[in-house]
Amino acid sequence: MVTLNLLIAVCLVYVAGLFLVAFLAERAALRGRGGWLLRSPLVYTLSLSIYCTAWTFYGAVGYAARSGLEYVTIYLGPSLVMIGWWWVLRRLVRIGRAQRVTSVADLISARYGKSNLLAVMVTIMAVVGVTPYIALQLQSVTLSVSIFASSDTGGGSETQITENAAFWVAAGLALFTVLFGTRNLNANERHHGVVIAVAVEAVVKLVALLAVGVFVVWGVSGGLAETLDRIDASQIATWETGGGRWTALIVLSAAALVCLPRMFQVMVVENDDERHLQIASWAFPLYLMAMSLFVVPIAVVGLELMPAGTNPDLYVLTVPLSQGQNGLAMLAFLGGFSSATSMVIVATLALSTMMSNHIFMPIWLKLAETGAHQSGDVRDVVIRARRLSILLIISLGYLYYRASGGSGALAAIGLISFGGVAQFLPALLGGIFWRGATRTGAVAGLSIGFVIWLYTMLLPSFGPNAALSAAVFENGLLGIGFLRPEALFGITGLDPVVHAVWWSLSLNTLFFFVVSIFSFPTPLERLQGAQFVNVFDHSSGPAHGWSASEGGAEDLMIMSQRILGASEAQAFFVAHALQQGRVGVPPVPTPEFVQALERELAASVGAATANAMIGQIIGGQAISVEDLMAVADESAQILEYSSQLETKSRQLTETARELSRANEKLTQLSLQKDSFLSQISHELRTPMTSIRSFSEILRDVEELNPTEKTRYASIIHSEAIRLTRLLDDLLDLSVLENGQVSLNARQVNLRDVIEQAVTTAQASSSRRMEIRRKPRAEEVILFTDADRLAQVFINLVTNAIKYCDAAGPILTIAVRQQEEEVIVRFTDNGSGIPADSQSLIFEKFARLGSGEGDGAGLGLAICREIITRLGGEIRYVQNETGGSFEVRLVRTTRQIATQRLLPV
Amino acid sequence: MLPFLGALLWVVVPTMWPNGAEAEPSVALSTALWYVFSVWLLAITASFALWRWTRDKIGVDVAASGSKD
Repeated sequence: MVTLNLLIAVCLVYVAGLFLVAFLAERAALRGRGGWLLRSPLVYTLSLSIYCTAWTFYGAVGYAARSGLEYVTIYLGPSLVMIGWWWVLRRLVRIGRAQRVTSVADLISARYGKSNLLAVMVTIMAVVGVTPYIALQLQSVTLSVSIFASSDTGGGSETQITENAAFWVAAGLALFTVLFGTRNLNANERHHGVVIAVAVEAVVKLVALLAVGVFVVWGVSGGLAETLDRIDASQIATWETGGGRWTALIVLSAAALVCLPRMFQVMVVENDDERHLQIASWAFPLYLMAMSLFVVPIAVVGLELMPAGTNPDLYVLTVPLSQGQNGLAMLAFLGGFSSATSMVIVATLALSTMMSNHIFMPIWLKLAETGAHQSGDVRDVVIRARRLSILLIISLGYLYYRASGGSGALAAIGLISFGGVAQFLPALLGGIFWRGATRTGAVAGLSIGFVIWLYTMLLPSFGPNAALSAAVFENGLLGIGFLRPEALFGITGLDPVVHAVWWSLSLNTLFFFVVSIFSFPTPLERLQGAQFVNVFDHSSGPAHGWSASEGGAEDLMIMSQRILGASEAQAFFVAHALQQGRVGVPPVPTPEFVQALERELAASVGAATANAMIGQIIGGQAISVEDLMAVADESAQILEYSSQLETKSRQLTETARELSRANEKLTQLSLQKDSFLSQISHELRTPMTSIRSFSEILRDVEELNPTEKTRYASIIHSEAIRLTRLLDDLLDLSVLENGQVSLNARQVNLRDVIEQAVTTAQASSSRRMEIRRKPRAEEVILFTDADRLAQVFINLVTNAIKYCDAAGPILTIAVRQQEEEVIVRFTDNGSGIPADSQSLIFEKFARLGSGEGDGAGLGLAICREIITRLGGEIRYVQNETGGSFEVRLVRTTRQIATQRLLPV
Repeated sequence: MLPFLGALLWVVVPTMWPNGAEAEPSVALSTALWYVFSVWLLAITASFALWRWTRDKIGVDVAASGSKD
């Protein structure tokens, strides 16, 4: 029979043993001994078992008895992170060491420009999130005490005893944490005494749970096969967990491993060697597997053996007691006690560091008139702040326990805490992997995630008409239906945990990324971002430097003594002075020295506070070459990107302009095509109509006299000729335009060509015109296609004869040589071409006259094409004496001329 | 491979099992236990093997970084 007094005595002996172990470890660490054990991977891995709290020890069995295998998700999440994602943790550890961070709040604050606002937010969120967890530990201890108390007192004063137990356990834990967590301001915030005590407790709880498990499987069930049979025959024999809940719980527990302040404390802050993390990547999952191995058998046997109404959270105790195994029950009690106490100690330690560094110290710095210059030992302020924080945190846990009545299932309370701290994850991971993450984004994400967690998970956990009224549960906040805490935005049917995790984490992440994208980081944020994201490239120091004068050394010394302690500070200064080759005088406060000092101070009071304190004394921050390089690199990338964008933009603008021009040209060509088709139709239709009309008259009118018949036949004939000429011209123009013409270039005398043209033109026209020439000037040898050139000249002479409106028409053909060119000008004495028509005369179907005998308007278009093919130029020149066509021809050698005569 | 394999075997596969709420006969808890713990053991073994394989490289890296106090 285990009496309550015996239980208390064993507990006191156990706690005294822990005190002794912690004390010896602290002393060994101070004397620089015992490093093989204190800094061993075994102790590191065992310290990670702080994850396994009373929830794991008692609550997991209760969880399994209620929900089957679902309990294992709480172990699978951390195992998944350790096995598969340990390199993410390694990055955290490296950053933690490089930046001398003291807590998860410190890390987030340091990443986002050493923002004290973020540090305060994370601290408050962590305290609120972890308080239910501390209450859970107190609840588990009091529940376990109540088991022994009920058997000892017969249940008479059980309630009084358990309430007292909760209070005294809380007081004892506060005392232990104060004694071993705030003995001094240890550089790097390592607490060897606490860690070794946690490692011892890890062994105790593992041995205790395994012992109960072995007893249940082989002592009660009769073996492994029988145990499996019992499982299959139990009321939890089948798989009941929904996929969404299974996934959400694994995600939640994986996030908790990284974000829980106590896990950050042991995993990052207390880490001595990164290689320990790699060993823990398989050793810690092994520990978790061992802790969860017998959970289902204990639950199944408990369900079978214990009377209905027994709290399944306590099967670990009640099953051995029911079988008369008092010693085993005592061991199990110690295991549960260890689980609860180790968690509360480390969690309180981590939270008190956060509270003192990020809340109390900044307030003190603000209120103290002279801030960091004030005389007196700042260490006392910090230590008092931490002790006050420890008392405050444990008091909050105790109050939560009393407020919640201590009746909730342990697992449900634990999940609430996990959900709260999981809100750090987007800012934490975004900060170490994404340089674009900003403080504003982190504040936005954390705020929205915390508010949603509070509204959908924490406050509903108190039940209707407690923190939230039943009306809010039923109708939503302010009667708005889509603000119901368990059916946010009108989404119903989700498991409450899945619902809360989904909305809080997804909106947290969304706000974090979107706001980060649309906000601009401060220079310090950018520098810190570069340091965090590229931690493996340069992890030797913090992100910025300082500029200091020699006069600041004494002030720095005074401040350092008050934070680090006189001897530690003096040793630090002497060591750095010696490094600088100075003996008996303080070191010069070079940027490197001040950086090192800031890191040292940050290990005690946090990055933000250390930064602020040094800033008060030194004032100016300078950027190191490495930082400048990082910023320059980033700026260069931005500039290059901008330049590329600009180039692309220019190219796009140019392309758009070309497209616009091409479009205009296409439009013009389309219009020309339409005009051409219209013209050609008209030109073809006119003679065809005449031919058709007169041929019909000849066919149908019998009384025509021979004269009329002859006249009509002549008209048909001339129209047919006109049609033929039109088609010939079109064909000729088409051939010229398509470049399919073959030129027959040879040496010709220009005079012969002109002579031929004049003769032909005069012969084909009935109108007389005087033509004036200077035959001597025409004596020029050209290498060209004589027939094509004559065709052009004939057209020009014919036009002159046809359109010159002078009473006595005269055409002057003048030839002039100019360097490599020969210019032939055809000038008549008529009124010329009207100014508004001059630009059109070389276009197809451009006719200026309107007489019946006019051509199709293709002549000058053909002339232009021919001259172009011959390598020359033709244009119309208006002068005082009348209209003038000027033909410029190239007088070249055979070889050059051949090249020039190639089709364009 | 371990992160994705682990997620597949521990997160995805169990979500595809029929549970008590569905018409199909649900998976027995003992079977689920065997599955989860077997994968667990395999994952630990793989992680252990990876540690043995890479510990020298990591050691060099950490020593070179100078991060050890």
